[in-house]
Amino acid sequence: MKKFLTRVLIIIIITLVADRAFSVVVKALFKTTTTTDEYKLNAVTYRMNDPVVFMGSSRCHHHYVPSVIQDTLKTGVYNAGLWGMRNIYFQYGFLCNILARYTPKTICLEVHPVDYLATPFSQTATVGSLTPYINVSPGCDEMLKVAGLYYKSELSELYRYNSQFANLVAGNISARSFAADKGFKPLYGKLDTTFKITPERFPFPIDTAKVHYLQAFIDKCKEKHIQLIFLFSPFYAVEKNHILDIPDSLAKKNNIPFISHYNLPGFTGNANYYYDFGHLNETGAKKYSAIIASELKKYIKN
Amino acid sequence: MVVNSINFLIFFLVVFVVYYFLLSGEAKAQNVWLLLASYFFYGFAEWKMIPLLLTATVVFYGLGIAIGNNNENNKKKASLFTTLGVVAGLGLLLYFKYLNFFIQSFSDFFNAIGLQTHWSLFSILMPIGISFFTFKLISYVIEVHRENMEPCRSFVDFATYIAFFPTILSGPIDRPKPFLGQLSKGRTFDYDLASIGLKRIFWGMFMKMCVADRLSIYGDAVFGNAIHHNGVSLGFATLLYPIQMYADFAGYSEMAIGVGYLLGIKITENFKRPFFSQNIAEYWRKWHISLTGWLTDYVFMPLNVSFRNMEKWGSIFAIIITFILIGMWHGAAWTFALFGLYHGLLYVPLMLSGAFFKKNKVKKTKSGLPPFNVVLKMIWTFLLVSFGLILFRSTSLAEAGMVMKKIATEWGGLFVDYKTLINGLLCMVIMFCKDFWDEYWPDRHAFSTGIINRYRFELTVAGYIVLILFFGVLDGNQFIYFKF
Repeated sequence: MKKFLTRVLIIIIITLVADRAFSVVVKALFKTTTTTDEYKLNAVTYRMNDPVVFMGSSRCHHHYVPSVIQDTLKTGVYNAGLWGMRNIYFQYGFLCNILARYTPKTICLEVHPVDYLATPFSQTATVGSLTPYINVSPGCDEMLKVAGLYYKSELSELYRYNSQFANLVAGNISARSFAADKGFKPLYGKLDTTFKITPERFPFPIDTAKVHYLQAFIDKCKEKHIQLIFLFSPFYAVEKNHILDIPDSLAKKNNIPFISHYNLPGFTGNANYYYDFGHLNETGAKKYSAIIASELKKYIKN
Repeated sequence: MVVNSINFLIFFLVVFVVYYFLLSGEAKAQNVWLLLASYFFYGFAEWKMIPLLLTATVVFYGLGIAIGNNNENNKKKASLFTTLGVVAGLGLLLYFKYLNFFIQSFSDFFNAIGLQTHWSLFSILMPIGISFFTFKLISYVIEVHRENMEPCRSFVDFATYIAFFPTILSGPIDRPKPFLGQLSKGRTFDYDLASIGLKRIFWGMFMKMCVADRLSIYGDAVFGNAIHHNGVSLGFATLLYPIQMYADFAGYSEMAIGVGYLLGIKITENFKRPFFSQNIAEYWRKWHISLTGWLTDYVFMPLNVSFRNMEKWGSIFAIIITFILIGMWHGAAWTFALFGLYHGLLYVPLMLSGAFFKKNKVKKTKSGLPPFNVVLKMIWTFLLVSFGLILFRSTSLAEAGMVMKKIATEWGGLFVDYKTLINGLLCMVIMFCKDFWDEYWPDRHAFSTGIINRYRFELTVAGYIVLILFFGVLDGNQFIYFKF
């Protein structure tokens, strides 16, 4: 038994050494990769310094064109949105990491039902991409704990980059999806309307844990004296529903402007501006950014 | 509590420490401890079914003794008890697994011929692992009746055999005689066996978490939305599915065997590199060996004897029936029956040509590689297996037909999820390289320098762990075979 336990101990030591050694290489590759997600996560966490920041999921990532908006606002704008149903768990951790380095003047949060409803397809797993940023901020660590990733990531440095192999290699061999326009990524193509497009429905109950972190996001901005604005950009197909009740009531309760364009004349139902039913294409994004910029101008003063 | 989870690790550490530090060499105490651990493990997965498992165990324990007592003096009575056992075992399976299927099928049939029926289905909770433990129960009474073993006089030993925690949920299906033989002796810690066990556990984890769970992301995305995918994507997912199945099920078997080894108990082998098979018969000799062996002994052989007047065709019928049962064992659906029939039919040319009766040896060239014609045969066998698994994977015959039709006619661009595929395919290559090495170069060692030779075992296990940390899906997917 003693011999066996010694063997197990040697395995643990080799594993720990290999884990640390490989993670040094992987970490270096992670910092230099040009794949969209990893590049943007790094850029936002370590380099972004614009006074106005847009945050949110894919609809933020593809809808707000910084070059268009900053022309109107006359101040630096960065689009920190990321695709992949990144809900409030991710956004809160991400915000805390940003605030660990600098404090933007304004944050525009593109809200989505995944931020406050118990949607089965967007839960705490979205925090997964923040594992490389463990110990950057207490808020991020809190979200990693909520997602059950914190202690695993503390134990293994390599685990922080789990499943990243393809992105790290591809993003270091060639320049991929480089976010040239300060985080904005355009979508090219036009919505296929050959089949009927129905409004996206969200028949899910309110998720109190998500609402808690939406409020925590608001509180964090208040604490740092950051002006927070809620946004909701247009959909191609809409219906009368109550999907915006929660952000609406939170905005009122906390005195936050809420600019909702869920049903925006000229956009809703106009396939020329859409890539798919929920995302604007490049033309639509530029046009919409001009509209939203002029509205934001009422709230954002230099 | 899946085997590759933190919960299991804690559970197993407690079992292991008590087993060796407090009870080492004490057969009775060790078996009681294993039994308690096994029922705790089973209860953790399905506590409501503990009374059923216990009742079945008590009944079959009694039947075993009754058969043993009558084997010599009253053969008729012994046969009656055996029949009772087989019927009870099959009855359990029939009730929990197949009753609703048969009701639905009869109802559909009568409706199809114009006789409207309104039979309602039963709300039945299927006990987890039922297909595995009922087969153990049945094989026990048959083995006792055949006088291949004495009935087990210790209830604790028998109950431990039935509920043994590494195998109750997903096999392998151990035979009673070798297993109970091991329980009759006290177990002291066996360094070599434990070392092999440890290595097999981590290799099984690699197979499951890095290959099976990774490929399942792609497979689920394509098959789960088959109607929206073209034939190329469906065809590619079809080729990946056997590999996912293998990595999932063989991965679990490796872990179960490894855990058994750590406890000083040798569990029956379940896989032997099936994708290096040159025909379908060889494939089934290497795939889910404990199930095919069970059905060969208790279904195929008796049927083959019954049909002996029909000579070769008798064997063919026997094998087709056996394979339909293998298919149906996996689930109560016509897709599984057809899956079995398909494999049974693949045996026909082998049996007619005599190839079925030949055992293929590992053929190698001078450089230790398989000859080209052998590789072609392996690829052909793999393609046949992949095609058959469309039936296995589909939820209905209509869906299977749709997938096959799309593969044949609807061509287009391949749906690619780079992140999943690159990680999954890379791990798949590692898995195949290891299998290839074990199959063709079992005596060769890579990197034979002094320090590596000294710590080869430790480096190998650490290597598996590092791969799991970097490539594994660590959020605990279920094993495919849990549902059977």
